[in-house]
Amino acid sequence: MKPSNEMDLKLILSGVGGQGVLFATRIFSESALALGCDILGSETHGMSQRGGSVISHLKIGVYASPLIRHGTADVLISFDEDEVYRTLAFVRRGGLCFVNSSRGDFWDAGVEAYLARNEITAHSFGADKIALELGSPRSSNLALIGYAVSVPQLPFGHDEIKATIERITPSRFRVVNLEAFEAGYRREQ
Amino acid sequence: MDAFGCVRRCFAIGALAARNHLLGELRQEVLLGNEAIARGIVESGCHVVASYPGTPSSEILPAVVRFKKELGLATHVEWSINEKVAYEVALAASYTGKRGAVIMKQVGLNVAADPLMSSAYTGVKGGFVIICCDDPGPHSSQTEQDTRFFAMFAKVPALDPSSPREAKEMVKAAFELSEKHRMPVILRPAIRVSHARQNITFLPVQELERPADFEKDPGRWAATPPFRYILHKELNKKLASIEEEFEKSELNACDEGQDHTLGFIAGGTSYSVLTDTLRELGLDGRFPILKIGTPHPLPQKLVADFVAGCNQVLILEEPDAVIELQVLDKHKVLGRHNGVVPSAGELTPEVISQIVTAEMDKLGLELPPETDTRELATLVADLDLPVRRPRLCPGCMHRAAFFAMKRVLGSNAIYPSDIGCYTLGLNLKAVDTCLDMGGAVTIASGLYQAYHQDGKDVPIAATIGDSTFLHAGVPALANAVHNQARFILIILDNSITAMTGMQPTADSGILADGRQGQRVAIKDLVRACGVGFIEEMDPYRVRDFEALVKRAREYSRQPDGGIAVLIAKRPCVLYDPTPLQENPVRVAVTEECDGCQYCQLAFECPALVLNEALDRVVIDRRICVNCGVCIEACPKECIVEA
Repeated sequence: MKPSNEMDLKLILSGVGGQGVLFATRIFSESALALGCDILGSETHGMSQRGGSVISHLKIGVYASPLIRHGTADVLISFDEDEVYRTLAFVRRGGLCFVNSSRGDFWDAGVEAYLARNEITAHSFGADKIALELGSPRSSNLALIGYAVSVPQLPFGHDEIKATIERITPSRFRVVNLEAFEAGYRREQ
Repeated sequence: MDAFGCVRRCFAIGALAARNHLLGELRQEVLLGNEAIARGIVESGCHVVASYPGTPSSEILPAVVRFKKELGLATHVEWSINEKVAYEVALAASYTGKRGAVIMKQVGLNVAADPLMSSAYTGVKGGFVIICCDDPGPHSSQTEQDTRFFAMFAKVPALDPSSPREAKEMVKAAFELSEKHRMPVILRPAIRVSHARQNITFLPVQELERPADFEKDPGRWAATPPFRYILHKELNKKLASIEEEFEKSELNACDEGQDHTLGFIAGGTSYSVLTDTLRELGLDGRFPILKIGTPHPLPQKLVADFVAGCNQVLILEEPDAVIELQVLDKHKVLGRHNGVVPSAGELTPEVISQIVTAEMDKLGLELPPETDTRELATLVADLDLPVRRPRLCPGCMHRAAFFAMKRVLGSNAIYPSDIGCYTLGLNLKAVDTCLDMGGAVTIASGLYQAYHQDGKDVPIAATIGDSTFLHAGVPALANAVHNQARFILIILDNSITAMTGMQPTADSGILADGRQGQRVAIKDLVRACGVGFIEEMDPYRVRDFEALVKRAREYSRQPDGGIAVLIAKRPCVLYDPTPLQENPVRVAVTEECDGCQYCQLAFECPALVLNEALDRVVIDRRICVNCGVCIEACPKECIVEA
């Protein structure tokens, strides 16, 4: 097995203000750091945070720039049904895409054909529903992360992500965040 | 050593940091670029740090406060009233032999240009570093100006980091350079350094025993014009010797390449983006790259030797052509002067890869196939996704004030405004101008004079935030009163600098490190400017606030009247949500709503949404904060308390 501190991954996370895009990015970057990897990322601040689109770039491995170029991201995790379309151009041929949606027929037909032509594996998962059932709509990001981690192609394991969530979540959200993550991991739609 | 006689670096600092981390010797943390810069300031033993907030620089000072507290240091930190003031407070520390740092965004240096130009002549004593963050794009600024041009203008050195890690190291280099040559030194991180995140190794803090010791030297610190001529000659000498030093500095480095048909010169973020892009295009190590960390003064010999060794040289830098302009012989140079590099906007990975691909095409080099995303742009455009423009938050007090102001004064009044969250009053058509910090008051004043000259009375209502008023509004108001201008000035006092991340203002009395300082009340300042009509009110009381606006308008027209100032006062809902939690006003839309959408246009609260199936407006409960102000926003009285 490839030693984990040689991980090489380009990850885009997208959504709108208030969905916890930056917290989700922290979970992956802190997990990578715990494995001994170098991380470099870029995030949105300032006026665009007032209800605008939020996009976060995360590069794990040896990189110089924090920005990911269109067509080169290995993975896209989007917490919003519109923002996923806006950020899909980042994903490379053969990449992975996760979107927070409970609609089985989520994708627009034209885009679905594009995904197939470029061998991009797209998963839609109703993370909002899980979070709502747990009585914590704001934990939806954790449920989607749980689902993404359950997919073998994502180079992060259940235990290391769980450990990071335990470590960096403020205490009052810890239990519900872990519950959302586990429910997502078990794919309880 | 390579063909150009300089060191190949390639992530040396990163590799070192990672090794130290694995050995468990030093603490490592994922930091924002701005936090890494703060760590660099603290590790450099800096004694006085002053700043005025502004994206993308705002996170530096709070991180200095964090490290100061963790380490129990006596560092003086302050949110100054504006950038000029911050500059001079930190500069004076340097007069005494201590280390000083001043932090601002790029347009902040316009405000601090006066002391910058002068202190370049006088020089400094203790290390003095100006950290000025650029915003190519721009993402959150009124211009894309390049701070490195200011360095040229003032004749001071500028360092340009390409990553958070390097930014931290460069802070230290900047202090040493400043102390050695007794010069102010500019560190210019661009937004993609300031708002990048990277794992950073913590190093021990340099302990500098520097008791304050101001040595009188009037020929320097109080130099008159004849002495200024001497200081100018001294400055030129310093700059020449710094250029000499930069020729051999490790802040500039060369990445070797075997193919000299093309070479790259790049600095800052553009260097990082170029490095990753070349690797992705399978060109890693093929072409030589000269990384410039010291764009001013440019090490001319290093650059000339590099250019001589290549058939052509492509220069990548942002936001402007500062290195390119300094290159004396441009016949081999590709860049902005010949349109190879765009002259506006950010050099994103997409832009840089397009430039590089076009050059490879000219060289006849075939590149590996890449994912073609062009068709996706059309497919996504066809989806007609809703545009997400920034908007004032639900419950924002600015909205209530704007709504009342507009309902009284209408669309024919002129509404000069200013820099802050409330610029988003554009969406309510309550903002007609936004020039610079404090511009609301001066533009209102000048508009009045222009119309008054023609014997015309046009209602003018200016809006300005509390922090912006303190920053540059006070002299503007004194000037307007003195010159007998007449208009309404609404000071939107939400008790905090909200847009840039909740920094306390002088009106609150709270200091940068959370301690209580002396309060400077806005109302007292307005009174001291000679204003004869001053009223303060919570704009949530929309009807009462409207009555105030009417009275203010009358005062501005009556023979013995003048400028009327209204202070709209209520804390920012993000900063202090408790008043709404304690007294929520839950609203509902009645079935009589006919979906006219007046409320959405005139009040523009994100929590008021049109339900197309019902053909009426409904409340989005997920984001409504129960402020109840929208009850006033329906002329048909269909929004009611539930």
